[in-house]
Order: sequence, then C-alpha cells, then structure tokens
Amino acid sequence: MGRLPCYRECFFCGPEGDGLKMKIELVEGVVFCDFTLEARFQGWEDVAHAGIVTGIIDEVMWWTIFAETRKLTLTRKLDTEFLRPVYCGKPYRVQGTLVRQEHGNIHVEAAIAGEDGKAAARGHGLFRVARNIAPSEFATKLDFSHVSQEMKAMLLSEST
Amino acid sequence: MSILPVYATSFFVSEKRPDGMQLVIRYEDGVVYTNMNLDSRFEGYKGVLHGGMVFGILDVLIWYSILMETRKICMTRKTEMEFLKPVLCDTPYRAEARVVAVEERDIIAFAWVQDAHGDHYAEVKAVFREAKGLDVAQFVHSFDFSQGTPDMKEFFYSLIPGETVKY
Repeated sequence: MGRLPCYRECFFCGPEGDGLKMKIELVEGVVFCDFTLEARFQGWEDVAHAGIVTGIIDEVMWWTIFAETRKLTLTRKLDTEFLRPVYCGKPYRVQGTLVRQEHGNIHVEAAIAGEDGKAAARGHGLFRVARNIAPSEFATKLDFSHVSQEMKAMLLSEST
Repeated sequence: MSILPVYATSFFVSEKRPDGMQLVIRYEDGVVYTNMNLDSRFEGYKGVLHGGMVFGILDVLIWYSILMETRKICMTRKTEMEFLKPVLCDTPYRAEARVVAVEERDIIAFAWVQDAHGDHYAEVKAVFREAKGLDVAQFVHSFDFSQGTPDMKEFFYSLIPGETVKY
C-alpha cells in the first residue's frame, strides 16, 4: 500500500526538525523502513549510537502495531540485542512483526538488517494500549502528505 | 564533583552539537549521572520524550559508568528497558548509572531516570562487552576535554599506556 503517515513532531519519523525523518511503509502487510543514517547519529567512528538504533526499532514496532490494529500504544518494555554495528552511510532495512495480543498488551518484534540480510540489531517489545490519548486528536498530528488516499482512508476509518 | 569529557561529535553530549542534547555528564562519589531537562525536539508523542531518546541517555551514562569503574572501553551488547511512566519534555529529571557486575568481558550495569522525589520513570539493565582491537590512544584523542574537569582529562589519558596528560 505504500507510505504510512508520520507523526509531525516525532524525532524519528517527523518530516521537520533535526530528526531521522524515517519514511515508514506498509507493503503486503509488512511494516518496514529503508534508511541510511547520517554521520551526525554516530556513537563512535561511523557506528550509529545504540540509542538511535533502539529508537528506530521502537518506532517501527509502534507503526507495526498501529498498521495492524489501529491501536494507539505506548512502549512498556523493550529488549534489544546489538549483534553487529549499524554503520552510518550504509543502507539498512528495519522491519516489524506483530507477535501476539493479550488484552491490552501487544508483543512485537523488529530487526535491522543490512544489504547482506544479516541482522545487525533486533528487539522484542511489549506495548500497552494508551488510555489517555484521544484518537481524534492524535489523527490531527499525523502528516498524510505522502500517503495514498487508500491508506489514509483505511487508517482514519478505524482510528477516529 | 567532576565533569566528564565528551566524544567530540556525540549527538547526546557534545556542546558543539546544537541539534543534539548537550547533556553534561557528572561523576561524583563513584556515581555517573546527568541532570536533564529536554525540550520537545526529542519527543515521540506530544510532550513525551521518545523512548529511543530515553534509552540513548541511559546508554551513554552506562558507558561512562563502566569506563570510570573498570577502565574498560565497552560496546552495548544487550539491553532490557522498562518504561514505567512517561518521561516528559521541559521537566527536570536525573538519570544515573551504576555497574552491577563484571563477568570476564561482559559488564552488567543498571541505569534509570528519576524525578526529584526519587521516583523512577524508566530503567534499563544492560550487558556491555569490552571492545576488541580498539586503538585506545586514538579513542582518547577523539574526545573534547574543553567541557570536562582536569581530573577527568588525567583519568582519560591514564588509559593510554605510557602517555601523560597534555595541557
């Protein structure tokens, strides 16, 4: 289906400011983002900072849940393994997978892999449905400018 | 109380990064900590810091904590992060890290974000692993000591075999 919207003020996916400006997609039921980090996000010698890596994983996990369930959630737990360095200036894909839902708890996984397909980092997250976020207010903060009408209709019809 | 030097281009701690957090990392009585009050540039949702940003702060503190406690330069290997309450933008917090155990090349550490009352908002347990084949001299020379106190400059230079601090 193509590009998902982004939350305008988010450091990771928002289109303005000094953040990562991740372009997250939903294609054939899979949420992913292809990205190449700028050197300004390094922790050491062109290696992305672990906080940036974790944030990318967290971000794709959130959109994986939203795309599949239309539920607004908050991260409760996030376990991350750093298997190989994620280098700035090299292309990677991060992809999420919804594992299961148990009442208000949603388990999700995500992994970052390079062009060779080898995982560089992977995470398991537990998210909880946010009780204090109004879907209608949330929707006003989303930027749909690069999103297809089909996608927009699908997301808004169930989140508002 | 000492102030630690920073990796010159670090998004989280360098004062030369106007787009970054410019955290000041302090070391006192064996504890590494920072007092922070971050603006909405780093939010994930309205007025709430992004979880990745919260983790990044704690990851930085753990790295320094391990260095100060063990003199080892380490990389993040595994982390278990818990978000207990939203960490808000434009609100003061203290983040702190401590080494829990050293098991050969693995160092286990704990870090958290707390408010003025000591209530925890986020916690992380982490396994860091000693970096192999690192050029320690090159590493130390890539730090900006203009932000740190002289005692910390001496400490960092003491990591380089045979090198003394240059003022």
